[in-house]
Amino acid sequence: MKKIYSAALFLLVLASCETPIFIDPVGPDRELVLLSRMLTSDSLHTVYASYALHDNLVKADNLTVRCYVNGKMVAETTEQAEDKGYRFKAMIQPGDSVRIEASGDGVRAVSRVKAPSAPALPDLDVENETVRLSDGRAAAVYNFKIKVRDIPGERNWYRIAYSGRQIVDEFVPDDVPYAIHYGWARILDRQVEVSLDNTKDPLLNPDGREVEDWRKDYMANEYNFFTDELFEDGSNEFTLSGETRQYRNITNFGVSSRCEYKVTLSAIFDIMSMSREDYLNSRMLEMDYFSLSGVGLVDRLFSEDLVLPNNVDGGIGLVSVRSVTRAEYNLGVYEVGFDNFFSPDSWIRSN
Amino acid sequence: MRKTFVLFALLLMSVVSWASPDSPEKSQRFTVSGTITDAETGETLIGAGVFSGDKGTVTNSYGFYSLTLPEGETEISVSHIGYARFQVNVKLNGNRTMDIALVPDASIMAAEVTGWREAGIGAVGLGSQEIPQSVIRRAPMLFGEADVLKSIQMLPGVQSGYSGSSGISIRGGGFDENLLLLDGIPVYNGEHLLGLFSVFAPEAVKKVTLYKSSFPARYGGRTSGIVDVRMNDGNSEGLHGSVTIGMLTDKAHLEGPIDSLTTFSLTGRLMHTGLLDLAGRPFGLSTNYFFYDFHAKVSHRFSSSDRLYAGIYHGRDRFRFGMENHDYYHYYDENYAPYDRYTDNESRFHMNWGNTVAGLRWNHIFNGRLFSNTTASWTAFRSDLRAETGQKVDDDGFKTTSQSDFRYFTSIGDLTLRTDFEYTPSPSHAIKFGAGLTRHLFVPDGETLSEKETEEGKVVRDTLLTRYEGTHMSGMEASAYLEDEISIGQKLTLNPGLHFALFSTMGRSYPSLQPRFSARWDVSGDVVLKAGYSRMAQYAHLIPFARISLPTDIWVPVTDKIPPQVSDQWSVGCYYIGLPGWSFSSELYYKDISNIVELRNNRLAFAGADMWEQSIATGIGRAYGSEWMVEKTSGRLTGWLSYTLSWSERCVPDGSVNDGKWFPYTNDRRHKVSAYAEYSITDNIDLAASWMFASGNRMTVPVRHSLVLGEDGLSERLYIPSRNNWTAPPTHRLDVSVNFRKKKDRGERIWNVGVYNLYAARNPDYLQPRVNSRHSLPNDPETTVLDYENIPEGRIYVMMSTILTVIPSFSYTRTF
Repeated sequence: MKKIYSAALFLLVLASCETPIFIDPVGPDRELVLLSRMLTSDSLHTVYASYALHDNLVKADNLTVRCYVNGKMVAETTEQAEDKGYRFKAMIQPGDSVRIEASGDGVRAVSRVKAPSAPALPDLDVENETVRLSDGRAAAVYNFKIKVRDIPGERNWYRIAYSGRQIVDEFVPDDVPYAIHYGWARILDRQVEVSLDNTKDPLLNPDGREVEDWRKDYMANEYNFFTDELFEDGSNEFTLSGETRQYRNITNFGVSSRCEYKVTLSAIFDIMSMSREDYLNSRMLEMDYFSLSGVGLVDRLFSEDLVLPNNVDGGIGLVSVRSVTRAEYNLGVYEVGFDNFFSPDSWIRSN
Repeated sequence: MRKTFVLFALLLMSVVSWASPDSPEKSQRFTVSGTITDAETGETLIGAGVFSGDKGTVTNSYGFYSLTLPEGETEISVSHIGYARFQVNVKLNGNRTMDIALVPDASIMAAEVTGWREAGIGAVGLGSQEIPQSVIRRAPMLFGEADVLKSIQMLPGVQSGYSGSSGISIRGGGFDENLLLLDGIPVYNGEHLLGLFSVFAPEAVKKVTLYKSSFPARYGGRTSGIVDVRMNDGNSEGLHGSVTIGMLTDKAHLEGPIDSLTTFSLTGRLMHTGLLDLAGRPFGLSTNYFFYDFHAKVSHRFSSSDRLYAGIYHGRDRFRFGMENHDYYHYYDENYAPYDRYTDNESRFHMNWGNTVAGLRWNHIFNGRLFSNTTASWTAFRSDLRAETGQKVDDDGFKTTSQSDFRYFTSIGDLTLRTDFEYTPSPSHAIKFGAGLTRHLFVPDGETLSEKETEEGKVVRDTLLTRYEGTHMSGMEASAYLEDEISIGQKLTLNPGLHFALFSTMGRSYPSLQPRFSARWDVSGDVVLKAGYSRMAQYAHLIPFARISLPTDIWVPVTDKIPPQVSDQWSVGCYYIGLPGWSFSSELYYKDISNIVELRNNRLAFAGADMWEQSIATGIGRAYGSEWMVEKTSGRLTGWLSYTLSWSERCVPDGSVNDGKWFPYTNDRRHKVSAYAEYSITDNIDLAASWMFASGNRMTVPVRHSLVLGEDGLSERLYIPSRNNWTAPPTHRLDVSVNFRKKKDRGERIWNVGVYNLYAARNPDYLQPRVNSRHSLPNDPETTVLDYENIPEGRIYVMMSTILTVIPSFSYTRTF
């Protein structure tokens, strides 16, 4: 009996093993990947192109990329930038039919998309007040009330994109060599910003939860996506609260502490309408679990993998056009200086 | 809603009026009723056939039968598998009670037993099967541990989860879509040791029935399958039991009479490491895992009409892990004076999960024709996790401590009151009806985190950082049902039924009217045709923590965003029993499922139970296939050979999963062949062997390198064309076991020797997609190591780990 068990144990050790199974290549050796997100508010557009191989990703720098709007070719380019982008200028209006065609080196891929109608933005109302935060400092707090009117007669997918505009009006610089080298405008860029919070809005944060720490990146609808599901063919007022913040980092800290300046801040809201595929693509990537830092140990067991929308014939990828309606609000002038840098009560606007 | 109630009431009234007994003026009829028991143990026998001529019935789950016959002399015959046939002539001139004890006779096989049965070819419905006790106790299993759910895995239409696990997928359904019943009470987590063993100890099991379709109207709450496990009531004739010492567990079973009217049954199972835990704790054993089970049941007969059963099951898995380290440092302070620092670090992790099921049942016989069973029950599953860390620092005599304590729990509990009636107005009708009310309490998760710091014994910080008691969600489920088994002539039997359920939670109500229908046509004495339809609804979903079953998986109720899951299944079957000792069956099925629950693309389920709804998408599913089975039911060699051809697909139309396109479900395994044989070599030696082959399950695997464009810009990512796009390698293995029995003065001793995966098949016990790459890709954390120098960098592959090969096992059992 002892011999039998010894033999069984030996067999067990011998047979337990790891075996790699190589995935049979599916599809052609190389597939052309085309990716683009064009905005009707921009005239310069980029189509990213690359060859997807079974074991690698290589540049596709031998292509001719053409853009057709309503059947008419409006741009053609053969130059690929370092970031894999082919850039061209074209004016695209809401409702236009856009065709992106990339060909060369034996491949040809085409994507056809329609620019959605642009949403109406009938009203942008802003309330502001100065509050003292829990850490003792004061801040200007805004409540942006953005009224969006749904595009009638169809299902729609949207995003509210925020970008602050900062114009440096006056500054009293110290003698800072690298400031002279880089230029003050660049160093002061984004020194004072409005940080937005959408957690109070029932559509942007439908569960109304105060999401904390690492989950915030994962769940909090960082890019303010929404659909018209709850206000189809009607209007909805979105509320985003904003708080002024001065950003310091290792490069501008010294600069900021040795200068005084005034900036004029503007809040710019772009309401983007997009296709369902574009919406799903962005939302999935936004919620990409693996983009979180520090949780890589739990690996694939704990999530399902992304299957992204594809609208490229002859290749893979997603080409989209977003129609944009813009609203801008002047937040006022801010004074920042050496004396008040560490007592930011005076950050509140001076007008 | 009103329409639903009206429909239900109309059906109830029409069936009852149709089924009412013939009037005395028409013909004088009397009822023979009673209980069928085992003559040696006094245990009630479920599914025994009671016949008089061409009229017959079958005993219910409590061994009760009722047969209404014309006045006069008649012969009554009673038969059951494994028991000698009992025949008696009776002169009927009034209603009478006749309790019958059958004498065991192992030579009597299924083929020699006539009568309707609750399951199998003899039943009206399709897709049901009773699992023979011999299969449960003798079939070769991993580590030699007899297992109810793994026995079911050998049947056609049932797929297992990962290798060695006791998870079951019935006709392409999910693991949470099966209702596991222990004496009629749901068990929410049927597994120990992450699925390697089921919670049902075979020694305490009296009968196991699997339903895959044609669900009787009395069942509800799950969409794919039902496993109804009935436990022993206890031997009324004497004290008996068994002790088993196995490779991983020790088991003890004891049953017997307390007095002439009361019996008991006790069963316990403990993993060997449980004993180690008891012995090792005082000596600082800080890491261990074990599980235990305990079944207890008492039954008391108050009168010939009243019997009370009280039963409890309690089982737990316990895992703990501890780590300590002690450090010493020699430092210099700012004045360059030396000082010593001693640090003691301690980490402890505990996990504790399991079920508690308790029930009180009252059987009452109103008269020979009406039987009732009233049940009050409680079932609960709870999982607790606790992580503690502590540090003690001694800086040259200055002592500080810091501690943190994190606790997490998830639980579900049901409190149920239900009553079931069986009314047999005539041999042509067997009416079952009843109603129940269940209060569900879900606590998807609760967590607390506290931190405490002391200096020189004084508390300087004592903070409860979070105190999240979890969302307590309750649901109230009311249900009622009515079914009638109607014999029309000698050849046709119908079983129409209706199950109505109303689930209310968070201010919303979900009514569901679930029709059930099955028909059986005896074409000839040898050929039987059946057809059936069932609608089932499910009001609770299991949100998986991961792709494998873990005790931290969360049960949640339907919500306003996640509606009840509903399945509609149609099936037809053809059976041949013309060859003595053999049976042949073939069944086809098609199942539509709505509101299936899927994890969204790349969503982490365990992002916090307060956010689980955002990780879930609902969609539709379909499963279809055919099952073929040849069974040998008599002789020294018994067993079966079965083949299943099946498909299971899902779709989430909102596009949040697989771009809205249909995709194969994880449990979509195209082919399954299963063979099982038991052979009695001598009276004392029997051999059991099982062989199975199953196509691989489906998983998502990237196929090439690609780019994506997110809101933050361009990034590199592996390209996945669709969910579950890859079929894993098939699984196959041969398991064998031999029982050596020897009669002793009292009882017998049994040595069981077995081998799992005898020919060392390299099965995919664990699969992990990887990329042979030097640099990490965003969606593949496993790419940081170049695994194979001789393989091109960037090559995508799946690492298949084979763990369970040639696993020998043995056990020793002594019965008395």
